[in-house]
Amino acid sequence: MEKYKRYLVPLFFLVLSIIGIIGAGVSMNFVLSELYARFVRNGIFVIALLIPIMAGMGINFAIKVGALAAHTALIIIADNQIYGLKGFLLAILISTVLSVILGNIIGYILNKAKGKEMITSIVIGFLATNLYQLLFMVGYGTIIKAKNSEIMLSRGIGLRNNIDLAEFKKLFDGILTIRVGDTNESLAPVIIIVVVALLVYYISGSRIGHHIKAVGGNINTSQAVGIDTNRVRRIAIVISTVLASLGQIMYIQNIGMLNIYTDHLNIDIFSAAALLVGGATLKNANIRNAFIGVLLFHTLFIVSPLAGQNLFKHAALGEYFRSFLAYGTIVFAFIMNLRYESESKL
Amino acid sequence: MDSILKVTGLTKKYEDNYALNKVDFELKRGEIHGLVGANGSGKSTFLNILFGNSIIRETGGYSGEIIIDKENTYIKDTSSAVELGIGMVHQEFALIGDLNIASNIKINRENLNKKTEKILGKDFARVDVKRNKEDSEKALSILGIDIDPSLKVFNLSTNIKQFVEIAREIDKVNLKILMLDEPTASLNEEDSKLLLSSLKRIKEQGSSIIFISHRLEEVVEICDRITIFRDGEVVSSYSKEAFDIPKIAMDMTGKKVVKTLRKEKDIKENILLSFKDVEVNYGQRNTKGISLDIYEGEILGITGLAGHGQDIFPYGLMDVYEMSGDVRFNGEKIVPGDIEDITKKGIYILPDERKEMGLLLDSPIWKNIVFSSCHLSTEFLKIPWFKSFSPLKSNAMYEHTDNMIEDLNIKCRDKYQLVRELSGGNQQKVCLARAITTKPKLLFVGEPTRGIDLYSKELILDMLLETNIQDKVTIVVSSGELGELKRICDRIVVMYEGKVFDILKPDDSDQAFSLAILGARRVDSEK
Amino acid sequence: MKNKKVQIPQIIICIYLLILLVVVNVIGIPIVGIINESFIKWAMNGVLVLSLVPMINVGAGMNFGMPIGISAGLIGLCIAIELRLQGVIGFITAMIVGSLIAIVFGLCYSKILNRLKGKEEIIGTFAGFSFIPIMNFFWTLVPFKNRQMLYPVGGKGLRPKISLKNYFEGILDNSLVVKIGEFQIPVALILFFLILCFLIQYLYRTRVGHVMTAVSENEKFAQISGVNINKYRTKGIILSTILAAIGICVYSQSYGFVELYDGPFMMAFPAVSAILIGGASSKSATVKQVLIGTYLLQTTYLLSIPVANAILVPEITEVLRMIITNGIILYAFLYKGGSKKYGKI
Repeated sequence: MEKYKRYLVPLFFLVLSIIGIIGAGVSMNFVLSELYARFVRNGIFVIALLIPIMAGMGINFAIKVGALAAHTALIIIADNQIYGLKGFLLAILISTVLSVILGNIIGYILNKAKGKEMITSIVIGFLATNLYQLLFMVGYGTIIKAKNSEIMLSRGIGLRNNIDLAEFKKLFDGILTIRVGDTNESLAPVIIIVVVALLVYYISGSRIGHHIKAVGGNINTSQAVGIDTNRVRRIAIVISTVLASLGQIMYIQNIGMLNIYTDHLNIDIFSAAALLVGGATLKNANIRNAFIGVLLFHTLFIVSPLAGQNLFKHAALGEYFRSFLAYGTIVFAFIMNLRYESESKL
Repeated sequence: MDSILKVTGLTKKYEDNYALNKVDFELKRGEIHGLVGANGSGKSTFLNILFGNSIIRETGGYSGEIIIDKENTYIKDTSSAVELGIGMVHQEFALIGDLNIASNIKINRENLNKKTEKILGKDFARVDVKRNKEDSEKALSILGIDIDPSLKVFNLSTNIKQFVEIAREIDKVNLKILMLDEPTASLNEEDSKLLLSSLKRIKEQGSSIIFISHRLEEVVEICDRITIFRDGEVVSSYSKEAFDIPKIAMDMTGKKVVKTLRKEKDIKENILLSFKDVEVNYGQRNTKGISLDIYEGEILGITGLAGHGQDIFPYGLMDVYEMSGDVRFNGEKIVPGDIEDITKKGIYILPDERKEMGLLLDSPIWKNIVFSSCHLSTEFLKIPWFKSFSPLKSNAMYEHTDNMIEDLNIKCRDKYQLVRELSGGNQQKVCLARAITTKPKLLFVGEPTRGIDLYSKELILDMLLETNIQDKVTIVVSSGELGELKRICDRIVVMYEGKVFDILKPDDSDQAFSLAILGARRVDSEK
Repeated sequence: MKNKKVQIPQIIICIYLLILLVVVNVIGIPIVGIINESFIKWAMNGVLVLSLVPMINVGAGMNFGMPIGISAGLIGLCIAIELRLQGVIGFITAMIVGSLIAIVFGLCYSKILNRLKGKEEIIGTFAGFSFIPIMNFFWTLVPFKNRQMLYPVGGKGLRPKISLKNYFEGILDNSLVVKIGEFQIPVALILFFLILCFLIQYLYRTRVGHVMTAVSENEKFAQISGVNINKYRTKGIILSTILAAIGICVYSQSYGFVELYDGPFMMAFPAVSAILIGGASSKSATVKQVLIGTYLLQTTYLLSIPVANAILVPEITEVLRMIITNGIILYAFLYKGGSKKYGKI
């Protein structure tokens, strides 16, 4: 019984998805090709949440900051008009460097707020968004001069909302093409995601991975046996931030357009919800949870507005339903997990 | 045999109290050395210093000399203790439940895959799980345990956990001194025997062992020498041929000249509160079949070693521990955990953890004194008809506080001073003042004199007696200070392993008490 | 030392305020107008900030789940509009209905929070967030008939921004305005706010308030003294929810619109920030801190608008406002009782 319990949540969402697909009255092919896009766009974010959970820090809502690092890198690339594979790799390099720096800062802050990591990481996410807006809405044109005037607003201060990155969208075209639903897609992004997943798997088996799990299991004991717990927690956050920045680059590559001020906004919530849908808890999460979660959660995401339109003649209802799902899943997970935590203490 | 560890003049002070006072101690190479002593005798502080526990550093460090392997050292933190070759097995398990046995044994000393270490550095090198497992098996086999090291620790039984913890220590290559703090407390007889014999094997491998236990038979059986601590000092030390259990027990508790404060009272066996066959869950323990009657008008003492359940009665009633069963107050059935009803009926509790549970440290004295009465009675309500929404009579509250400060001689600036700023003794007086203000029928007091200077101790004991006689309050005092209980109590309950082990008269002999506390039957002592 | 730390956010805000004042002076914007406006902003947001106090003082932390109480108030407002109640009667109806609904919502909310003690802030945040889509269902499906609040096209579902023009816009702002020279003081609005403040202040002089503050200071102490903790927490949480409902009514009459749908999403954050500036912690808060904190924060918001316009980037107002808000909250997490020492050993 105990063993099957953790499959309850994914099963529940599987049933919901099936009802949604039927209710929406869409073809399986449509769902598949949409799902491919969403898997490519969101897969790495969900994986990025795994390591902080292992370290006992809960869900790292500050993965938003990694996404912002990716935006910054892409803006620099666009400003200097370096496109193609070279630009893509350079973007990854810049965003990784930025993420390492930012990850260290976030880790430092979260170490100061032990026991309140999740709410603190939410506020960090908000604050980082604001500072980012300040930089690109006001900083550009006043302090920083853009080389590429196309990305600037006509008033001369601040960047435009969108930057066209269609060049990157073509990057994987024609490589390892497979047929997904109604469209031809490249397998390359999927391979990248699998490689990232393997990387996380490797890290969890390395020395630092063992320490991360030890710190997550019991921070006091880990400290007592001589592990530098603060350092381990900081490294966990750095890894998470770096992965998130890579995730955001994949996301934007797939869309081919960067919405400077909005693209990062809900990724933390949706990724967290997806992971939890996959059967993860706040203390325990693995790669399987991540993959199952992404597929189930995004299936629902695709079909619920359509189902709302179809069943209630109201597309908005489906939309409300899915945002309720995202937040509701998280609340539900909190209630289940944290109660368990307080019970096991007795 | 030369000595591996030599300690001279070790002293540790917590605020004004000496936890250790000029302790000399010697551990010879390859011996098992037993440490015994009552609670608060300084054994734990001694081990904490040797293992570099952070609490020592945070409270001002220690003074004295520690020589390990002929080298004079200062142990500043845990990792330097580990480097010096000291290993410690804690009373509460320092294991990580989510990891498997091998990972726990090899924690922070993992075997790494050499190739990946070279390329990726130490942190990101792959852990060689197979070699970890082999090492773990080896360490466990020294202890005589045959178990699969890939099992997760939280599934294991307590006794196996204890062995895993020891295995972690003996796996250390440079282990010189192994310290065990009550390793058999959570084991049954059979496992205790297994553990003791494996300790002998560890000793044969060349490590020296410091062994703490309250089970004297074990200590006598396994140790080469025994040192007895009392009140932060070493009182005596015996080697194998001079072991004598009753004598050791006496050394532990000490002969105290007891001047009885109480006057003979005529206590009719009128039951005020009775526990009949109740069940209590506390910590990770569960005890069934506990019974106790408390008579009206008496002062009942409850004593025992820490963790043996001196506090289960008040905490069980107040929902701190889970209690169920037949509890009657004045013959009327009450439900343990229904805290509002219980306090309204006139049972009041002053907890042993005074600062954590007994006071509002950041509130002024007056609030601490009148709080419970405001909550329980209508005494301080301006318009009682408003019930809870009535404003409070500030003048009456202040006046009452002033009276209390004067009556109990609480030393403070004024009634508005924060309780945090008062000394321990005055804080306890504030607690008592609050209890008296509620005019309870039955008062539970936990460790009334803990952390309090000598002069205030007397005052507080006097106060308890006065409250008992003048205000006719039945009092239950739980305390590890046997001497004090003997002075004020009419009967003394000895708790052992969560149960009422024996009820003694205050004028029973010290030996009877010391043996009862250690769980030995009275019949034995009378032989 | 400890007291000094508490005041750092206040000091920063005051310095920032002074800088803004100087800039505003240099630009040449009349200061009187801003002061008049600041009174309105103060009382308009004050009740929402005040609503945090009961929950903090019963040990349930900052109420990040404020959208729940706000939603109750919004339902009250919508019902008053649906019944076409104008003026004072409409406003009072909105508050009464809103409060009644808030009692129900608060009761459910407290059930969740009481199960998860010590994690109220994160739970509250997400409980509040997830309540928004639930309410969105309600706004879309509720069979209200008053066309002034429905979508102009299709006539189904409530519109996101309902004007209060024909109902009770400015009912408090514009009543009993006392003019002293150029200064205009909205007496009714300020009086209403102060009366609520007084009532809360009074609460903490009664037996209930006395016990509540003890619960938040030391829960174990209260338990040992025979206090039923959950009962008092429930009372505090419901009271906070009711005040949030009343708060949004006061806010909306000033603002002139009822904002539905995602409107209440981020409303908890400025309120939390304001009370922190006032010097509150997540364990204790006073009415005085509400008054000071709200005034300081709202006035900095107000002053940054003309300054931002002057440098031609109007969006910056909002960004700066959020930076202040979130920065102060983050600071509080890090330096006020956030990092408790782990364990004893």
